[in-house]
Amino acid sequence: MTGEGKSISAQILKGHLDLLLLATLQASPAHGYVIIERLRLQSKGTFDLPEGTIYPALHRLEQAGLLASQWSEEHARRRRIYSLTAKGRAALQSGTKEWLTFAQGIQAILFGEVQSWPI
Amino acid sequence: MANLIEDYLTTFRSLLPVGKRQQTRILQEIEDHLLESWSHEQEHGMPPEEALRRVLARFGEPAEIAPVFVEQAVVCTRRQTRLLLVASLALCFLLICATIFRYPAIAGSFADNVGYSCFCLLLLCAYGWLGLRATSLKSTIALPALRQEVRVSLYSTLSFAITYLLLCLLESLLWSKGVVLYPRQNILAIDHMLNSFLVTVPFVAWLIFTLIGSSSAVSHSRRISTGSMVGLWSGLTMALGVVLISLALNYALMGLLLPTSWSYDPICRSSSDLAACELGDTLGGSTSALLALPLLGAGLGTLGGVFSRGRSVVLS
Repeated sequence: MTGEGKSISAQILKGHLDLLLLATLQASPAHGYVIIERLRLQSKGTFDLPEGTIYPALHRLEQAGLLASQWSEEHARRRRIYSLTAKGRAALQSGTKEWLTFAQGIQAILFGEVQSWPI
Repeated sequence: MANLIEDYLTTFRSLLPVGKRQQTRILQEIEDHLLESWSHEQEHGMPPEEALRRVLARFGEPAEIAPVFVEQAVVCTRRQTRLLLVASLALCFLLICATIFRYPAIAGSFADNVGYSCFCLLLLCAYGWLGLRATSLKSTIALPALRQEVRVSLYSTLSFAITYLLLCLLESLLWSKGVVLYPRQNILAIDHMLNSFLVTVPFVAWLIFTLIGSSSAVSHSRRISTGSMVGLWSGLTMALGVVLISLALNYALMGLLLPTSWSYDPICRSSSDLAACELGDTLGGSTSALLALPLLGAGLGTLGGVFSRGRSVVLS
């Protein structure tokens, strides 16, 4: 990816980070490192943000009541496990619908056709 | 090797002027992430030193990440402070109205009661407007100053709550036990002494907290207006605390307070008169506090700010 392409990708990603973080926690609760790994693996390396930027976003989502978190002891190490709340699940659902509408609109303008995507 | 992580966390800590609990949480999360990421890189065959450098680079510069946490803490603190302010103002007004309309003898006629309530409402609205403006997201007050405001207010109000409770209990003890042993005139003199001493203590504590808090906030912001704002906030919270705590304790401890000096007052004959006298006395005092303390606080805060600025100029 070119430098220009990478910065555009980071900007777009920043606007959708909340939705992506909620989506990574849909399957199961996880701590910060695993969330970042899921983002990287599920996007096949496309979303490779500076890792430190994820934590403020997780804290913000928790303050908004979309995530809940608690300490857990694993291998003598304390880690904060994040999970989706009911409000977070609802936000994920509505965010996904919004994204689909937006993406289909873009697709229709760029390619002149609308492909139906699974929800 | 681990020194690199420690150095990284120390730098991060120095850039995080947030509450201790939140700071510990953030740093623990980051430390866990770095250690996990480091061991993961090593499992993939990378030499420890190179792996750690890579992990730290991938995490990002503390100077870029820490301000995002601080910004969030500011938003959160502002939101909580505003909520607390609005709730206190509303509760204050309700308590004043409930008192004045339950015991109409305090103010006199119905028109006087309405006038007094309107005056209190106007005063509280003005303070609410000032307080909300000072804590709005557009306000330029930095987090350390905002935290200083909240801390000063809490300490001052707490000192008032403790001394006022103590005063009520001591007064009750004095008039129930002391009056059997000593002449009433002596008990009355002791009562007056107790009153002035236990009202002076929280007031002096508030003066000291406000001066220290405002000068400390100005030393961070380098602006005297920050000191005035800390002082105003401290005075406003203390005034609200005085109204809420004194009226609430009066209602809660009415049974203990009525048989004190009021029962010897020639004007307060019946028990409802007694209650009106006691509550009216408290209401008068607390309304004066509501009127004077915020203005006095703003003045004190400015003084603290000027002192702090003067000292920093001399030191530099």
